[in-house]
Amino acid sequence: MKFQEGKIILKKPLTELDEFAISIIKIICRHAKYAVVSGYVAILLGRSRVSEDIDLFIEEISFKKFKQLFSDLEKNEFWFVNGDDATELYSILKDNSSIRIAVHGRGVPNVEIKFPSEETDFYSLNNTFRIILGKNEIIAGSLELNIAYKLRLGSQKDIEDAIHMFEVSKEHLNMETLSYFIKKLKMENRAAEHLWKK
Amino acid sequence: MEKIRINLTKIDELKKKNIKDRLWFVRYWANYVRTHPDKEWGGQQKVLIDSALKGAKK
Repeated sequence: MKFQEGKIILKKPLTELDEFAISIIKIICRHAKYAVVSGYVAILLGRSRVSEDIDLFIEEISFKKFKQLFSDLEKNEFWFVNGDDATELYSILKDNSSIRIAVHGRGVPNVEIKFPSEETDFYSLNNTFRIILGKNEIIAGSLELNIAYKLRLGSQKDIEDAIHMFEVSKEHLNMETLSYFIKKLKMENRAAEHLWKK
Repeated sequence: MEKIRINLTKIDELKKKNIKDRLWFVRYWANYVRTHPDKEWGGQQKVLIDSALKGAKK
């Protein structure tokens, strides 16, 4: 795992989850700015677990643009798990809920897409880094925010994801940014217990 | 039904120990990822993820 300015280069064999993510992202990035967040980022960075979904923010696009994205995904053998009507799916997104995309006829794994609504969502979308996987590239939201946010979510899995992301990248993180988000999310005690602990 | 005695304190202690052990492993694995070539940890991760997804396809 090689850290460079704004990117992490990985030379790992691609998992089926990576191939699935890459195939959908290749289509999504033709239509909208995006950032992968949450657990799949921890998995990309080596966490030893599987996930049924990949969380992704896309910038809020017009209905016209969404229809193009919808057709492009359908043309490429993907389907929308929670509906087959573009108008209905777009209204789910506008309602700050998520839509799920999977390989046609399957439920898992799936990509869960949301429009950003909270300030942290916009921050993730606007402060990204690239994960290079051979000839492929995945754009991920701020690692510092992801770590702090995972602590805030607080399930056992989330805390483990936070510890993993922190431990593999601690020499390259912006500690000022991480501390800022830990404070903003009121996670000082949890960070002291799980991250700063020797 | 036969009455059995359940020691809830013991279960809670085991739960705490299990969480502690898991967190130890997460740190161990993160350190392994940090200090080994991607191919090594990536190969192991691939087996884990691909087999889980294969199971989900069935």
